[in-house]
Amino acid sequence: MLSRDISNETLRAQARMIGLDIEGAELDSLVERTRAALDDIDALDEFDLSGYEPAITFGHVPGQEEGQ
Amino acid sequence: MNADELCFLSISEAAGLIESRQLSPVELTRAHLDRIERTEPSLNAFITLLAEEAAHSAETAEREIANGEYRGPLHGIPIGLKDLYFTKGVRTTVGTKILRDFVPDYDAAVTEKFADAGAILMGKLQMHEFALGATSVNPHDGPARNPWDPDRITGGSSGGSGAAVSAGQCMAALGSDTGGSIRIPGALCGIVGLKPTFGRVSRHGVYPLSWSLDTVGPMTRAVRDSAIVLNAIAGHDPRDPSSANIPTEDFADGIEDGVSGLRIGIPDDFFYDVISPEVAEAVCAAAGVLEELGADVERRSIPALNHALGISSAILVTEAAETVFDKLRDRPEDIGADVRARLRLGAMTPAVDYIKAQRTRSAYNAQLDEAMRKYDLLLAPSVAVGATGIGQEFVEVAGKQENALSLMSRLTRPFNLTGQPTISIPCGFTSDGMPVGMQIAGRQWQETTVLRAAHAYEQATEWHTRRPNLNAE
Repeated sequence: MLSRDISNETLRAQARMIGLDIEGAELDSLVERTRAALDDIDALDEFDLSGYEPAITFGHVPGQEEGQ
Repeated sequence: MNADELCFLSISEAAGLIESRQLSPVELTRAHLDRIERTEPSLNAFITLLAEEAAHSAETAEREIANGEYRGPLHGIPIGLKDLYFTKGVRTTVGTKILRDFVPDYDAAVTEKFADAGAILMGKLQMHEFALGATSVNPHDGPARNPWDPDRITGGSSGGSGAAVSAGQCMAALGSDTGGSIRIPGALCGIVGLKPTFGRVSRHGVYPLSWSLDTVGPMTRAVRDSAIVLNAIAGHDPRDPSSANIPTEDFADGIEDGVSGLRIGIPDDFFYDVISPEVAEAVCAAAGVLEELGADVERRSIPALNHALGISSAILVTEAAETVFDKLRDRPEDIGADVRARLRLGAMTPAVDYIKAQRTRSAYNAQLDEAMRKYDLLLAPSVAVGATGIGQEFVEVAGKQENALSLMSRLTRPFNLTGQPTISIPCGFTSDGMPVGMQIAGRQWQETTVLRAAHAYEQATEWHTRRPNLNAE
C-alpha cells in the first residue's frame, strides 16, 4: 500500500494548485501540522462506517426535530 | 444601591426594577458606561464602544416604559455583541485587519431581535481573529484581558464577551461557539455560557467560520439570565438554511424544578486524560452536589469521545479555510500568524479526508445518541486548566508540559460535533484564584433541562456570587 507523501514538495505543489504561495519556515511548520492532522484522520479507521453518510448539516438534519 | 452594584445585578433583578419603574434604563446604562470607562483600559474587551448610541437608546427605552410600553425583560438592559454580528451602519471587524472598515448594510437576525426586545447595545466586543482560536489574543486589536487577572487570557474566541460580562461592563453578551468559543471564555472568566442546539438560533448576519458547527448563544452571569436571552433570540428564520423549524418555548419554564430524578452521566474517559487535578476535583465535587440534590449520577465510558478532536479538527479548519479563502489567498500577510497557519492547514486537507471526517462524525454522533438515550444530561469539565498567561505557550498539567492553546478547546469540541445544547457554569476556582467551569450537555432541543440542572447547581453553591477585583475600580 502506498503511504501518504506529506513533504515540502507535495504541500508546496498542493498549495500552488489552489493559488496559495507557502514557503520557508511556514511551509516546514505546515508540513508538520498536516502530518499530525492526517495521522488523526487515519486513526478514525477504527470506526465501522457501514451505513453512515456524512453529517454535513448545512441544511437542518432530518429527524433531529424528534430529539435523541 | 451604588453604580457598581447596579452593574452586577442579574438581568432578572434589573428587569423587575425597570418594569416597576424603580430603576431607570438611563441610570443603568450610565452606570455601565462609567464602569466601562474605568475598567476598559485593563480589559480591552471592546473593539467598538457605542456610548452615544447606548445613551440615546436608553432614553428611548425610558420614554417607552414611562408610556406603558414595556417590552419585556431585556427592555433597557445593557448588552454587547461579539464583533462578528452584523450591525447596520456600525463596523463589524470579525477581529481582523482585513475587515477593519467593513460596515454592514443590514442587521444580523439576533441584532434585530435584541433591538425588538428593547435591549441597549453598548458596543462590539473583542474576539480571536475570524473566531479561529481560543485565546482572544488578537494581533490587530491587542489581547482581551481576563478580569480575574489582566495578565491572563480570557479564552476565546468570544473573549471580549466573557470579559465584559464578568467585569460588569454589560449584563449579557452574545458569543458564537464552533469548538467552544462561548463555553471556554465562559469558564475562564467565571460566567455562564450557553451553546444552544445547532439550529436553535438564526445565524443570518453572523460572519461564518464553520458552516456545520457554528452556533449562536448567550453569555451571562446567571443561568436564568441565559434563559431570558435565549427566549429573545431563539426561533426559526428562513434566511438561515441551518435554522430549525421547530416551536420555541419559554426556556425559563421549569427552571426551579431541581434535578431530582434526572439521570446524569459522567464520561470517565477522554475528559480526564489531560486535566489539572484541581479542575478535575472541582467537577467531581460538583457531581457530588448534584447527587445530593437528588440527581442519579453515574460514570460511564463513551469510547467515541477519544476521536472527537481528530474529527472536529478536520471539519473545523477545512470549512474555515473555505469560508475566508479569498482573504487567505490575497492578503495572507494581513492575517495573524496563528490563524493563518490554521487556515492553511485547513486548505491542505484532502476532500476525501474531510468527507471521511464528516462520515465518521455520523458514527460518533450515534454513540453519543446512545448515551443520551440513557441519560438526561452529561457532565464534564469545560477547560482542563485555569486561564493561562497571555502569550504563554505551554502549561504544566500533572507534571507534564502541554500545549496551552490545544488544551483550551480540547474538552468543549466533543459537543459541537453532536450539536446538542451545552452550558458552561462556574464550579470553583484554582489555587491561584482563576475560575473553573463545568459543562452540562443535554439532549437535542432540551435546553430547558440543561438550564434547570445548571440553575439548581448554581443556587446550591456560591461560585456565581464572586466578583473579580479590578484594580481600576
